[in-house]
Amino acid sequence: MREGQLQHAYTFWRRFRRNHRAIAGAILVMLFVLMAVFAPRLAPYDPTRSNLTVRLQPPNREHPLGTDALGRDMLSRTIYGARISLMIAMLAVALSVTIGVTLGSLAGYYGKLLDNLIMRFVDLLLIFPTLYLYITLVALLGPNIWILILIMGGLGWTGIARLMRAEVLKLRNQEFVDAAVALGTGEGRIIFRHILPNAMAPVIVAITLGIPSMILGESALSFLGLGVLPPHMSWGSLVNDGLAFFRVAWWLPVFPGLAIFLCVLGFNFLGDGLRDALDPRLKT
Amino acid sequence: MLRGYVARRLLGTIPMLLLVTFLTFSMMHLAPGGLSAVFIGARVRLEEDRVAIMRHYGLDQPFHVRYLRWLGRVIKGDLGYSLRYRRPVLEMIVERIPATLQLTIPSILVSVLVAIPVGVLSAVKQYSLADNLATIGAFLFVSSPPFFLGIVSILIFSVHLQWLPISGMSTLGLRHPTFWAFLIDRLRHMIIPAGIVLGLGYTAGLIRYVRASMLEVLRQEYIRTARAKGLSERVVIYQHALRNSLLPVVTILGMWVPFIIGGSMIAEVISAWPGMGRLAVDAVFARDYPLVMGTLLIVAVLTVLGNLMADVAYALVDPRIRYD
Repeated sequence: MREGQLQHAYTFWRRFRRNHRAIAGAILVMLFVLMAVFAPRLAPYDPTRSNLTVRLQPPNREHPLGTDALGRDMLSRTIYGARISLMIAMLAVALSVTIGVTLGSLAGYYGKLLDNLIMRFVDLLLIFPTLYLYITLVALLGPNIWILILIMGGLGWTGIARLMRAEVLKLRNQEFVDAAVALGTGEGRIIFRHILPNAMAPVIVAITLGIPSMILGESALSFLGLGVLPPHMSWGSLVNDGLAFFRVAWWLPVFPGLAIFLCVLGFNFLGDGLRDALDPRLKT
Repeated sequence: MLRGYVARRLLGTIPMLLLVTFLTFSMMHLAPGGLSAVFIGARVRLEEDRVAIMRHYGLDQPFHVRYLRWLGRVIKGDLGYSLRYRRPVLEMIVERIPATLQLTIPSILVSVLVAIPVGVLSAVKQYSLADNLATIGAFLFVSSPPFFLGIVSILIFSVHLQWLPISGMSTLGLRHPTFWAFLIDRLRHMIIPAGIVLGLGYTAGLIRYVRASMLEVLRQEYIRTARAKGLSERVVIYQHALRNSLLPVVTILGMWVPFIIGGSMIAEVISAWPGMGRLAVDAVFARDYPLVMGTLLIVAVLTVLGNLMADVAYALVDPRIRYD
């Protein structure tokens, strides 16, 4: 058993290592995570301290990414922006994966009425164009970081649920599950010990590819002014802040936008590489 | 058979529409101040007036009664009045539909026209330089937030080079334009919101689907058979493989109906394009709850109807579909 796992890990690593894109993605992701964790040490200035003597300065030696309309250092603000952007994305993914894996496996394992109910609910959620649903809920519940996480996590699980359902459906009809049933194994044990561990590959991929889509979702809402609001800052809200001046100060929206782009790209490269290395069959 | 399928599919949309209305109606109760905020707004300040109005409109009735009464009005096309503009909500939304479709439909059509040849070529010449460029390009555009692409292109093409208009749907004060002048002016306004903000992402996503789907088909036995029969590579690829690889693409396009209806919000906001997305965002900022809920309901209903059309079209295209 242990030897088998080692073998798996080795095959995985061998495939993953050969994929340059995946390695580049992993490095990008690591850089952004380190940036978020060590923001207070990395940021050259206090991201919220304004200095009216250096308003709207283009990138220069003291302020490599320029300053905003209140003379705040954009490099420091972009570094701190990583914190909120990544935190919201990760918590929202944690929530959506929990809901998606639970409902998807229930639907796949028990089938029949429960499956029907869950999947029709998924269909219903997918009817509502995402951003319309998000902004309506923000309008009703108020913009706030926790509500954002609840909305995106609470609604973003449909893809994972479908994936999980298909995976569990496939595994449930395999011989080792029949064998477990024949041995009198309880349902809970079959689901948690026999089926779910075998369905981990798509879950890991769904988590890695879920984070960039949550980053994009949060940044879209914050860009509209309906997500993260001052004094908090995410990359999206920094872009929104910069919009008022973007014709005279291009650096205000461009650098936070670039940060979103690079971070999302990193996660997409990584997720794609993980999918190829964990389970080439999943390739779309 | 087909007629039966269409009839069943039509009947199937009715419960879906009911669920959509039910969910939308339930959501209204989440508004700060509950239903009265949605229907009456903040302008009625006296509590007794509010209670009186609530009673007058039956808002104090039990939930199911309220829902049924509201549904009765919605079916007749009465979505209430905008708190801010005092105009019927439905009328305001319907006005905005053409502008939205003018962005989304061309952008999807163009991305299909670009993505299919690129994706097919990319798959046929797998791991070639062209394939690598297409794959990386697709990754880049899938990963960039649409507003970022929009802002950068406005900075480059509108502010710096001044080739394209900054925003809006048409140039103000274009006097007595001929049809062609009007069309060209409109197209110039569409390049950034439809071509760049929406189009690049759609194209990138679609290239990945077409490529994967084509690669999948090229691995099939019947392709090997076709080659073994001595058919030319051209016939194998364009007559045998391409057709079958496009079927999943049609499915994907069917799944894009929500984007056609509701995918252009960011593009509309960036380019000040007067579509439904911008209407919804403005309504949220104005706390115009009837308008907010109205847009949500209408985009959802349009999506249900769009899905219906896509399914029927798909049944017509793919003879393998089972009519059950």
